[in-house]
Amino acid sequence: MGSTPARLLRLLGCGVLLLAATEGLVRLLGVAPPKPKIYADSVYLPDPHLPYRQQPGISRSEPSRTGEFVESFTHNSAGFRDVEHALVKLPGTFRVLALGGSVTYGSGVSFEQTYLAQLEKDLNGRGALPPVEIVKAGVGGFFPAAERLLLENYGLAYQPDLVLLQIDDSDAFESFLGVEAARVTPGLLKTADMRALGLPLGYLAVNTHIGRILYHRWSRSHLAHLKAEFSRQEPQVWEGIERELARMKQLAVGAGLVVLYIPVERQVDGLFPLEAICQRLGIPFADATPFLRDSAREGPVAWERDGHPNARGHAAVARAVETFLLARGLIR
Amino acid sequence: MDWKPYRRPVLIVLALLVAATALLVWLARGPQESPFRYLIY
Repeated sequence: MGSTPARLLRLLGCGVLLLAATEGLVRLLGVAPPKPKIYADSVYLPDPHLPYRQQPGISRSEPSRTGEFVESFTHNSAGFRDVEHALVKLPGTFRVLALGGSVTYGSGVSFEQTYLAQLEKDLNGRGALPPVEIVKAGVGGFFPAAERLLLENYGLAYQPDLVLLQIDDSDAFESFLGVEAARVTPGLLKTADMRALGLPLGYLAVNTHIGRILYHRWSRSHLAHLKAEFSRQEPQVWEGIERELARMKQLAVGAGLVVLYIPVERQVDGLFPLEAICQRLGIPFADATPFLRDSAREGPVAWERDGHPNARGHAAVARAVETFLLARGLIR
Repeated sequence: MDWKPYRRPVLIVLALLVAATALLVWLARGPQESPFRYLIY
């Protein structure tokens, strides 16, 4: 038998070896969640004005999160999933700046199938209208506060004649979490959840399989807590969204602002107060729900597990927006 | 070399290893995608 410090040292050594062996076994079994994409191979980069920006000039093809489809995307030099746009628009062109989250980005469909690409094609096929150019500035995970920052710092430079803001059911919860929760920073701890853990725990939670399992388990229960908190604060969250929309309307002065609602998670009527907010602020409100419901009679309009609209869903949204813009005479 | 004195601690460590791994496998059940989709898209 050795002295007490020697025994403690031996015990500690055994503990470390045990952890390393467990990590090895868990890796062999392959049961841990994958490394978060933002740490593995991120297309989201830190930005001085936005919570994050999309990596410009990349082209990729990768399986979706649920494995239901393959995501193929190309970003232009501004980091948007779009063709190149000069900041100065051609004379006589009617330019639409489209803001939104992953639905507007087009997660789940090819670029040509996105509702914005179809809308642009359909509007330009009408003849009687001026040439229409749509700057497709959807960013996965964005919500009104982030979209306002995008409009303010980058979007207005495109001299839009109309700003189309897409909102879906995820926006309220994302707004509750806020800009700081979404902010991507340089370094080892890129995301707010890992920054909250600090070093070395945040690093271990991302890079070890034991850490990922434990963090994942904790985050699932933490999410339930956050959702409960969100339910309590939902009225205030909507007040915040109303302030963001009012600010965007001010910023887009000279151009029109239209809010487009696309149901994603609930697949039912817009139950939340978005329409009333738009009425109060005098912002035209386009609801894609009836068009999606019509299309849903022919087959699914969204990916079952992933939840994003599929090609049929995007086609329905394109028809909804086109009908709305033309009926209101918003493209001139 | 006489392994007899080490047999008990080695068995304890192996038992702990199996128990820890089994616990982690149990904890890893359920949906694999993170609920924090907005952070890890």
